[in-house]
Amino acid sequence: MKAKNSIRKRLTLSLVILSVTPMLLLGTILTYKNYVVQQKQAEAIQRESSKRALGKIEAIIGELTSELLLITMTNTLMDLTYMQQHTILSIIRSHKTKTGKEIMNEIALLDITGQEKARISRSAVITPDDLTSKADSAEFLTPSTSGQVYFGPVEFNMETSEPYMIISLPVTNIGNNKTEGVLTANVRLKFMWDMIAEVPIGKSGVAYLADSLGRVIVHPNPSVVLRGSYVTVPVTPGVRTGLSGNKVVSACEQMHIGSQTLHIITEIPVSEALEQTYIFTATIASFLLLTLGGILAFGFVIVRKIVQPIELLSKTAGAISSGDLTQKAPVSGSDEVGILGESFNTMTSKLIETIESVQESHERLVLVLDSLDSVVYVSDLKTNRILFINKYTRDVFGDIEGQICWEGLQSAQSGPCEFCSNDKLLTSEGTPAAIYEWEFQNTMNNKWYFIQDRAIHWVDGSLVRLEIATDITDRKQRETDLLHRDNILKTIHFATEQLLRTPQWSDSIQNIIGSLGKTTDVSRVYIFRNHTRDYETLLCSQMYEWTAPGESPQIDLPELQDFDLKVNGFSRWMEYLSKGEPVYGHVRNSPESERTLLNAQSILSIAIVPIFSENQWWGFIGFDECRREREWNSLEIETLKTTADALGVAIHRNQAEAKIRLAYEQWQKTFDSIPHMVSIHSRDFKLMRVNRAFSDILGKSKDDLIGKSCHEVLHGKGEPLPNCPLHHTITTGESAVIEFYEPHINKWLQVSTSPVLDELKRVSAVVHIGEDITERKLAEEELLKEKQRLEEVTSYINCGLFLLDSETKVTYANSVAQEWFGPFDRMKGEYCWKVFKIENPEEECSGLKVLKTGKPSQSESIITMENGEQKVLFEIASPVKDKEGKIYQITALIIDITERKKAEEKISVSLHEKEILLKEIHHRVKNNMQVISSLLNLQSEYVDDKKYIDMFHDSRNRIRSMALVHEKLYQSNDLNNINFNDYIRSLINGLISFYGINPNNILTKIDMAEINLSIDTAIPCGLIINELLSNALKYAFTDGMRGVVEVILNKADINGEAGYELVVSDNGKGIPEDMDIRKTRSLGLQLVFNLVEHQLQGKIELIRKNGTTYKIRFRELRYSSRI
Amino acid sequence: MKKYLTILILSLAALFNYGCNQSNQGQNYTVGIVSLTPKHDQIIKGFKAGMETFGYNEGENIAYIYEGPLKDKARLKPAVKTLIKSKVDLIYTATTPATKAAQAAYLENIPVVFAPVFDPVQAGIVSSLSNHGKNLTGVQVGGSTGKALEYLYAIAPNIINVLVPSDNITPSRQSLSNLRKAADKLGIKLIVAPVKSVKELQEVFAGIDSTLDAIWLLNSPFLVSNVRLYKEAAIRSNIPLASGASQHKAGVMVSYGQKHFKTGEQASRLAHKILQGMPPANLPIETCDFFLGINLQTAQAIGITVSENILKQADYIIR
Repeated sequence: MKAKNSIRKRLTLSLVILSVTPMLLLGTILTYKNYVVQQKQAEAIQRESSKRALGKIEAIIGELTSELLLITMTNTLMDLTYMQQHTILSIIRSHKTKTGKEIMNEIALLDITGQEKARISRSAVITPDDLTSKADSAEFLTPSTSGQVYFGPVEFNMETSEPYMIISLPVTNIGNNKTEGVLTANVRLKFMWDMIAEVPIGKSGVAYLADSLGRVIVHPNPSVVLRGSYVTVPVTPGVRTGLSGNKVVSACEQMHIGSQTLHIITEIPVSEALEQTYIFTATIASFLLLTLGGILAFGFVIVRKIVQPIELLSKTAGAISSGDLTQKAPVSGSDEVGILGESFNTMTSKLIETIESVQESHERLVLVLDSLDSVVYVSDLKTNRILFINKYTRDVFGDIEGQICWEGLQSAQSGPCEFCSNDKLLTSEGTPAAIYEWEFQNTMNNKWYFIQDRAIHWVDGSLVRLEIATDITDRKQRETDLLHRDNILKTIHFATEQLLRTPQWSDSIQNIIGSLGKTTDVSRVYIFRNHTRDYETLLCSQMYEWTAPGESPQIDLPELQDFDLKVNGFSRWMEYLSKGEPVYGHVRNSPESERTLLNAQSILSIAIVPIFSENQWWGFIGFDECRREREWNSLEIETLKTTADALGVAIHRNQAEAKIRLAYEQWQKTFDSIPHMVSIHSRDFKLMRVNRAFSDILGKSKDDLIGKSCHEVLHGKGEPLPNCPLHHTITTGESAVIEFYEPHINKWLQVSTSPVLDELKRVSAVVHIGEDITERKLAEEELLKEKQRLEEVTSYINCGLFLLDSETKVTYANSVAQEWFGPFDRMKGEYCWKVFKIENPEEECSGLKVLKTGKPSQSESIITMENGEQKVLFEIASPVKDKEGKIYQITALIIDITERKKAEEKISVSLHEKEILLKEIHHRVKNNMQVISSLLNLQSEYVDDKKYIDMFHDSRNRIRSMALVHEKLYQSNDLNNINFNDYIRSLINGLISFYGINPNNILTKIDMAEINLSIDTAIPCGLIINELLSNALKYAFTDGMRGVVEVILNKADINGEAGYELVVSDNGKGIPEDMDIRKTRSLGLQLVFNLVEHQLQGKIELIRKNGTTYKIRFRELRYSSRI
Repeated sequence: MKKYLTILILSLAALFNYGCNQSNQGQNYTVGIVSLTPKHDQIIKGFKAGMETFGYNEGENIAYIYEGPLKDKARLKPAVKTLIKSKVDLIYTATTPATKAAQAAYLENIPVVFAPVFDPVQAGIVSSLSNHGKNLTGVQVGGSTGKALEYLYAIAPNIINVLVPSDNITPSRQSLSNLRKAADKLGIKLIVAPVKSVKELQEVFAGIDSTLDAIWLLNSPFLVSNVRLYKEAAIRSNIPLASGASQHKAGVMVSYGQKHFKTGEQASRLAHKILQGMPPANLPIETCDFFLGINLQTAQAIGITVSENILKQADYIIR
């Protein structure tokens, strides 16, 4: 069936119209516009070209005319000689254009009568014989009569066809302004001809000159001029027929030369002028054609793509409508048509499927009904006769199809059942009502059924009852169980709630176990608690009990108090319960050890569950059933467990609460025991809690303070102070510390604030701690004053003072120290040895030594100062210890001993010099004494008397003993003391040698400690020993006696002072008893007594036993300054 | 379908492109040059320079076929034939003989432009300068001889006898003819000395005596090519040297006539018009511009003072 108004035609037509029309319109408008614009442009260009050419010509003519005019104004031109005139005219004639073109063919000078006076030609030789009269010519008459410049018509040279023009000018006498002659010039216009010919007028345009009659006088094509062409001079620019007979765009400009009017006409072929328009038109046309072609082609494709599938679809639909369901629409694609085709095919397929499924449904329906495990039957609403039953119904009730419903389905029913629902299946209009659902326990098989009845129209149209009855007997049983479970859960909920809400679990436990008992319908419910005896034996005691009415309570039985499970045969219970496991079952199945007690309580079945609190076995809860043996179901056991768990939590909670209370009391005591002012503030600065110190310091009770703002109570202000740390903490969440003097309470306080954050990290409160630092502040002020005093003192005495911490880091440096070592800021916190630039601090740093030893330390070192100067500094470091003896500070006093060191150096040098000098003195003294000794020795040789000789010898020995002291002093490094041991040996050796003692006969012993004696002591001792030894050697051993002479010198205590004991002894003849040695005339002994008692201020004792022993006790003479 | 569409689109695009490109194409020309003597190299340079001003750039849109000065009249016609075979667009001839030899070309419809030709009418090349009707045009250079003699007379008004060596070729005869007319008017006597070779020329100059007042150089290729001898003779004899050809650079004391380079430029304008489509018959033969040249070095050597009035008229002065 063909469509009358096909989509293809409509689409195609629309496409063509919509694409062609705008294209054509656009192209036409654009082309016309361009044509008009181009034409105007061409006309304007021609006008411009004409004007350009005109300008050039006018310029040249004007220039020439001006120059000629200048010449004519030469005063004496007419009075010059022929040759002069000839020369001038030659010069004029030779004038060329700027482009080097000769302008004049000839130039002639005419007198007032018109007679040529002189004439010069470009090419010809003109002599005076060639001169003629031009009296009648216009070139003479016009200028001579009117005084105006004459421009002749454009003429052409017959021979060369070159154009020329006569220009003549009057020669005027400037003095009297009279015309005295005429100057004529034959001007070559070939330059103009060439110039116009060369004016570019497009590619093929021309510019030409025509006179006022339209005669072409200059043209790029000379033949045009030569054949005498005429042209109609155009008045306005525009398109007209040109000189060549073609259509041109022309323009015209006029030029006036004298009385002549010349026209410069420019022409350009229309085809050239409008070339751009043609190109543009061609371009537009091509573009339009191209676009149109494209659109049409594209449109054709699109139309085909759109229309063809629709046609195919239409054809397929027709076939299907005539019954051929096998037809498929051959359409595909992702566009709407494709989707339509696919949908159509899908619809067809589905229709086929639907038909097939309907057939199948019927079969399945029957199959389904028969496979249902529900009673399905249909009975007539009027007759109640059963019309249809399914297989299940047949299996349950037998083949009751055709029977009356109450006969087949119920027992002992002779008429309609009183519970029949037929009247509920129809509306008041007699139409089928909604499904009626109900549950019923069948009287025949006692099963519960969920019944769905409805009235339907049977196949014959009559209204029948359709009943579907599903066996719900099991469900009903489960409902009963669930209800029971629900009650138990409610009981558990009640128990839990009671335990959680009641502050003390013991207040509600009785109700709980009562509720448990009632819900579970047991004989007894009870709770036992564990406890220990002597912290070792585990016992349990019944604490709570509920009994069902008619049952005997057991709680009062003493044997159920302090019950030892283990001892009483319930070890099994201990084992299970302690592990958290229940014990339940029939008593008859329990171990014999348990049965006795349980039977005595008439318990037939028992269920016990342990109670744990904080993972500790606290006790147990149990059910007793005395009426019958009972199988405990999981729910009941779980109930017990849940109750036990809840009880355990409650017990634990109570215990925790008790702990919390205790902790709170302890915290409160601690809070109040803090000596500082501690308070907790809310975000709005209100006091939430204060400690005792806070209230004591302010002199108010806690109740008076709580709820007040801190700035009110602390500072007496209505708002926070500007630098309030509390404010800072509240706003920033950061801790703050400040020190300030609060005049309100006349105290220095160090206040620190710390935020209390909630779970969202927001500041919910602030802990405010105010420490009374008044004493510390005062101490600090004192310390500061001390420091200042110390600073002054140390500055005065020019000592550097450092305070170091326990790590020897600098915490303070006075001005002197800073002057030496640099500004305090640089050294603060630095190790002192770094500041002092000590290279080996462990060995040289006094601070470290102090730390190590705990004792003051001194050191001397050369330090380079800040200014580069080196100083010798004496450092005294002392520890400052706290009460525990721990060093917390080290003071280091630095004294500049540079000058002292220099002085010491000087003294040392001086001393050394003096020592040398002293040595020299000793040496000289010794030498002098030796000289004296030698003199005495010499002198003795001149004496014969032995007595006098001995006197000389004794004197000599005495002098020798003194000289020996000086010698020893000279030899010793110590110029003040001599090693007396060494001295005595030398002295004794000298005496032995002098007296010629045989060492085999007389043995000398020296027993002397290492003693150094000063010169003041050594000399008298030396003299004493010399005398006593000499006496011993001379007088103790005579006649060849053998013996021993001994000298002993040791340190001794002389009346509590250090002294010496000298013993000189011999085992010789001894001194006679009757000899009083004090009265002896021996010089030597007198000398000895004198030296001992007066010089040494000692004591001498003579012991005459076993020879002679002198014991002398004396103190060392102390040197006193004699200066 | 797609294929047809593609072909259609491509075709239209090609057409469009062709149309746009049509207007952009230019034309190339070939010009043959025939010259007889190296003396005319400046004219040819002037011709090419003039053509450049009209947009003809050698190697771009114009090619010149030029074998160089042929130096032998017998080679002129074969050269022209060669150019005809080469289908040149135009032939440019320098000298009357070359122009006459090119007659075959313009008979073959190849236009000819000549420059210089002393007097094409007298040479029989054309019947008239304007309406000649032939396929050639050009620039004639004659007509200045008389004026040149006048300038000599103005510089040296005492001259009476003027030595005129002549080789009796056409341009010499034409030049001599014009010279006689002027000389008669000025009362000057021409002493014409026929010469055919350099030796004869030298002999003529060697025979100059005190009766001669000036030497004249005719417009002859042969004579002009020996201008050095003229100059030496003039200096040696202390007499002025003049010419109707522009030879001041070569040492002629006073010369009035065409300037080769300028003449060549003038001819290029005619050639340009012809190449742009103007029939040569429509183009009258032009006369060249004349230029006065004074060589003061020669004048000084000769011992002559040229007045300021003359110098003011001079186009070129060699100092």
